[in-house]
Amino acid sequence: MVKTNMLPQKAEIVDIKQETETNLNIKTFRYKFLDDQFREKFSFKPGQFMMVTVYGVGEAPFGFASSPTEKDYIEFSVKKVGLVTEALHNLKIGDKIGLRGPFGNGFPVESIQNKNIIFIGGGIGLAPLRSLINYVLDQQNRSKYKNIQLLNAFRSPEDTLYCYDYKWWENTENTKVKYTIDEPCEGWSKCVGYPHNLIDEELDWELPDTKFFTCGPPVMIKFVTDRLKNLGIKPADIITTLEMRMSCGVGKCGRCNIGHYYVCKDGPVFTLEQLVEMPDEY
Amino acid sequence: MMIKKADQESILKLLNNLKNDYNIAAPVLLKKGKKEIVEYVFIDDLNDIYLDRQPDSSPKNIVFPQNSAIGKDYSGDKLYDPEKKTILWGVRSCDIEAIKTIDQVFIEDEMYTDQSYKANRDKTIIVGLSCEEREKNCFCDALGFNPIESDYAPIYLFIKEDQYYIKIKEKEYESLFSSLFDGDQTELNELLKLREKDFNSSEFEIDIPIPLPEKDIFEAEIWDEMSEKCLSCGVCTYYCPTCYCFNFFWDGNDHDSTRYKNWDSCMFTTYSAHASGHNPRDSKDKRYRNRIMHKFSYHPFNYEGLGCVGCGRCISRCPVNLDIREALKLTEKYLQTKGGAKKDG
Amino acid sequence: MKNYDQITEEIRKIAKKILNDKTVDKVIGFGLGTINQEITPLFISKAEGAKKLVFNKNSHMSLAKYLLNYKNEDVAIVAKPCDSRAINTYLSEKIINRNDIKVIGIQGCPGIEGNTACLECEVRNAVISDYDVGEKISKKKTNQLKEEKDFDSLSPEERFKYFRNEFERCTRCYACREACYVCYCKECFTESNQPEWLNKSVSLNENFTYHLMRAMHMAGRCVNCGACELACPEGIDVRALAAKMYNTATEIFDYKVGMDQKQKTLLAEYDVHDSEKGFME
Repeated sequence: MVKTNMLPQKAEIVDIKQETETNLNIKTFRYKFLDDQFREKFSFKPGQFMMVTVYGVGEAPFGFASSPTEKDYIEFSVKKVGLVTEALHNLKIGDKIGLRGPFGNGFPVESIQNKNIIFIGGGIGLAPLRSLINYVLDQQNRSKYKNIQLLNAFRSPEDTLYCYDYKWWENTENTKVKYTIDEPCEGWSKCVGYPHNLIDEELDWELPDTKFFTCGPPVMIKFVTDRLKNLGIKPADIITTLEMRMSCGVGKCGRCNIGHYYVCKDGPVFTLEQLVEMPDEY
Repeated sequence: MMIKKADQESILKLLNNLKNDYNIAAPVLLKKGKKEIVEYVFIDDLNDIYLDRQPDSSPKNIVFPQNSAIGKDYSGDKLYDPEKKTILWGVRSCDIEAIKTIDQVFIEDEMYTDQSYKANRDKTIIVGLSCEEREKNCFCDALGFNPIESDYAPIYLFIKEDQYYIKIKEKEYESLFSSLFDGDQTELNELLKLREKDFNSSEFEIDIPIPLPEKDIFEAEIWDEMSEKCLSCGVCTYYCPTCYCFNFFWDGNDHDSTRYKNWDSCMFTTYSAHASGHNPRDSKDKRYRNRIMHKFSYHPFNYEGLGCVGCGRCISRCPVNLDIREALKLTEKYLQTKGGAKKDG
Repeated sequence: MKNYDQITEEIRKIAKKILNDKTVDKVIGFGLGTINQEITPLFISKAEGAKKLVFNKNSHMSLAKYLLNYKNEDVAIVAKPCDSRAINTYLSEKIINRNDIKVIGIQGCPGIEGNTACLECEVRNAVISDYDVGEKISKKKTNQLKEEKDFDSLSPEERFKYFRNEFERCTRCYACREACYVCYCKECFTESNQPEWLNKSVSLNENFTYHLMRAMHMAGRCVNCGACELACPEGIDVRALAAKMYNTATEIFDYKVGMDQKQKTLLAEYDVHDSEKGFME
């Protein structure tokens, strides 16, 4: 049993990347725990999340965008939407924030070994997937997984995230990376259209023993999972991660429940098989 | 087990002595504007103790105050001394069961324990009070609880007119009452037998499976009707002895400011609203459904026991007299007409 | 003046008729809880149900607010004189349609027990009504412009002390806001987080901010019905500030809200001759 006093650990912002700015304002923050001992002991799984405190403002949950194979720092991508995210966006390198966690179940990194993996991410939904993508594509781990495919969907070329990763993703062996935007656009030579319409043509979805990971806006998740189901993919092989309003991160404060599940504790990662059994209230 | 017997005067004398070493929290009749409200507070003058009726507010105010500082003195009350343990005096069965419910969530959960809450609870000694008669809106026995005695309190008071019988179930607390005369077990048993016989049985009865079948009830078309008059205020949740939903806020701007845990309410519109504006429970029928389901389905599913103890405060204090019993009746009827009702605890 | 039972009978008769002939789909009124027999809002959509309608001395809830849940539906509503003024305000603020609602107006309202606002009531008769129940009474001279407590005669310190005592007890359950017909904003300032006007802590400061800011929104809109105070579980004198606003609007602008459905709300109308009393004094 874990004891928690719900007080955060102090960390420093060591890097800030402005990912997108024109349509949506998204920054990726790199944090480093101040306490060396804590940092060394700290471990997490892709798909888990942390509660980030901006002192004096509030706290909000963010899924890890970096891989646990990066030992020195952790990264989170933050879209400016509310009180806490706005305050975060105003911070600079060297500023201190508070972190609690890691929370949640995380992606099943062990049980997907020796399998093919397809990632379908939309917008900032790519953030939690990136944690797993970077984990499975990491040199130490790559051999544990078979064919890996990515379909990254964005609204427009201005909204693409993690451009600095594309090269190494594409250059990793036995890995296919596709990009799509919603509407045709001058100068864009890659795919166009919503991701659920591109699965048939752009991805080798029929490879046996494939696990599908998808995350994005709720409506995208619904369309993608529906499409995959129609293609005959087993619901247990379709994995997504949900977002709910959260406060405590440990299944106590109440608000993130879907039926008797608490997204913060029993999730945020669920298979479609679990989701269809849950009340439709998310 | 030890039985003691005392009159009102000796009890006051005893408490007066205990006051030196303990914080005493007990129900007190307070004049609040035009209302007279019985509420648990830390007290100095023991003559203020008021046990004549069910308190209008629950002892949640003491074990889990509306604002509690994390990692610091749990209660900001002037009469609360953090160095001392707290005797929580005269708690009725419903409220004892409610504390048990909150303990399940904050202490006995297999994954996480809330240290601040636990530290406070470890310092709290519950002294139970046996109910003599049913009040207008309470229905604990209909939910399977015993208004006369709850097992969860180590010490219990049985009052008959001016006579107190005190049952001390745990050895470590016997010394607290050593100054009182010994009581007679058979005498107390007689009293209990009489009380059980005389306790007016509830006109309200309910036969629903616990936990309520999640998906089935969730999709039942009863929630609009049930919540039609709900105003979406937080009264039912704030005065509920088991509602424990909370939020955090910081007092101050710097890194060393105090972090507080404060009550939140699932009946508030913004309770589950995302920063993006999306809100999974954006209407009152959904919020009310979540409240009922949490008490009768989700909590029983995740922990043992119910999330409602039948104290009836949500009914008595609701500004529009929204009656949770009517909601349960509607659920019962829905399950019966669907042919799905089965008794399970 | 007719008594509660007579008014109840008349309400039932009308409700039965208009549900029978499908004039409306629903009647919003008062009834009794099926288990505790206490007064509660009741929503009737079948003529047989009309006999469950009740009007008694405890019928304190302001039903007008429920109209907002039935926009574009044909509903009838039982309206005390104060509720009728609330309905007029909704009509003048154009958030409900006159054609969608039928008002069962209580004329010669016998008042609500424990509601001090009734003592200050200036109308006593429903000011909008499709079906009259009760019996119109001539406007009784009330102690208008006089709140229960005469705050003007108190020093600022005394006033502060009084409200401090009151607001200290506030748990911010927002029952007063939710019971108030004026408070229908889609997003209340208490819920705004950009900017965050109010933090979530329940402290004297924040409680004061809540009650004072809410009072400011009451000017020229509060009908002084007392629903806020009766909803408060802590017995806080919530109405005091609202009543002050109400009386100030009368005193300075000779304005009484909700007397007519075509009347503009106080702050929606500008008149160059308006008094500037109190402005930047």
